[in-house]
Amino acid sequence: MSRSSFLYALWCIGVLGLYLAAASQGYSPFADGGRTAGAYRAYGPTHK
Amino acid sequence: MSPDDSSVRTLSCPACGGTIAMRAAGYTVTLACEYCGTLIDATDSDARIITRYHEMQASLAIPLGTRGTLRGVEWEAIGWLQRSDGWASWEEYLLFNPYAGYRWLIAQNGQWSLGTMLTAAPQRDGPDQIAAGRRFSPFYSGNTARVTRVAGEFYWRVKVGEEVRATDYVRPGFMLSLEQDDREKSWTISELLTGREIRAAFDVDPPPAWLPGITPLAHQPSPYARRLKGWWPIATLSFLGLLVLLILLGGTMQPQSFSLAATPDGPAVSQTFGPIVLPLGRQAMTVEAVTPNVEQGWVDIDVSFVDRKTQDSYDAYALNERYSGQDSDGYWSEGNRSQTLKVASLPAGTYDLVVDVQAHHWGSSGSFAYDTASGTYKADGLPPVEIVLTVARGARFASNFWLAVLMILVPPLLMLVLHILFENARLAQKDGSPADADDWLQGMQSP
Repeated sequence: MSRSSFLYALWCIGVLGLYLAAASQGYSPFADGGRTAGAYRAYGPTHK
Repeated sequence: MSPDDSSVRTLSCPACGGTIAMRAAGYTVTLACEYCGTLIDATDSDARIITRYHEMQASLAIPLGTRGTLRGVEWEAIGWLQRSDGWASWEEYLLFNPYAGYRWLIAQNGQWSLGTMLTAAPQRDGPDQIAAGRRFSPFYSGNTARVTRVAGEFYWRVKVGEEVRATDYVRPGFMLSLEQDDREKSWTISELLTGREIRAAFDVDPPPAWLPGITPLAHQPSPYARRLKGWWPIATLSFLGLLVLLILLGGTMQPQSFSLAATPDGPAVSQTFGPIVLPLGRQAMTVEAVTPNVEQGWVDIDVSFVDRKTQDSYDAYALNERYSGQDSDGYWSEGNRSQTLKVASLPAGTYDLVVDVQAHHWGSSGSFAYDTASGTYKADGLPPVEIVLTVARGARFASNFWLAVLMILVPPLLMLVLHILFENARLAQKDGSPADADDWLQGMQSP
């Protein structure tokens, strides 16, 4: 395995580790929780 | 293998008097003085001057007489010449070994290639040439290479201004060159040397790394293609690993259902459900909010997980709506009666689920009554909208998955962009027909 492949494999392991950590903590930067305050609310049909 | 030192003969330069070593005595026809550049006829016992040059001798990266081992053979640099085709210039060192013969060490833009003259012409296959079991595509054609400077000794009568017509064929890492003049044709295969090889052999600086804006050699293989090919299996494995994690860790459990009702345009309804116990660490919660009978209206649903101990609140909001009608195109409907909310990273504890809902009616169907509080007409007598909430521990965040996929793909995509820039710069030099798909595919090949 070349050095660049080794470094890229390390990067991928790091990404998988981050994903695993986020999953175990139930974390997502895009979760709906806490969105209420800034949520944009538009009502009514958009049909024309 | 080392050349026999007894084959080295010395003679005095008839122009400057400098002592010149002739390292391939018996083979050398022309000798250029290392000190003043004067060309001497080595076959003449009186060392006759062919051409006299007073220009300054070039400072050579590999001083003539230097020995180095390349591909298991010890070579001695005996001659040097500089050539130009009007666009680019390059240097060629003539290497000699009494048992292996001659080779060319070609230096251009800091890159080094080892050239071997072919004893038989390559096989032609359409526009390509096949030599030494390798297929070469046409690249440069009809250029005139002219000798601009010369030093050392050669096996032919070389002189400044000597010209040959050159045609070059390439594949990654190799160049097949045809040089011809009125008298002869010669074919040479040159192979790009790695920085480690040329440094180990002749202790010269390794080739510089390619950067956007630098023109690569015609036969220089893209350093990014090799990385891309090495990285794709790793990226695929990582993607499969992510899929496994998504399946294993993305489930929900212990669902609890709660329901309440709200009258369209009626007062806001607030209700507390619970307890919801989260026993371990931090975890996500999934709330599915369904309003099965909302019609021509919407329901604002605010849910909050409130920690009984700390009173910390984790909020989320859903908007369920449903509209339908009839127009010239027929029946239409829009809106969604179901929303799924995901609340991230709730600490362990006992929670109440506080739900605030308000239902609204849209349009003019039904009967309306004037509401003095808001000063508007509001629907009156519509059936209440039922809101069913299903709360479960855990959540499958597709956004996390796609973010991780993007992070895995960023380095290969960056390499792909650099590879495209590299190949664009390389293929921009191509003569004749513009670069086609075959040229791009060839750029992905390994040397």
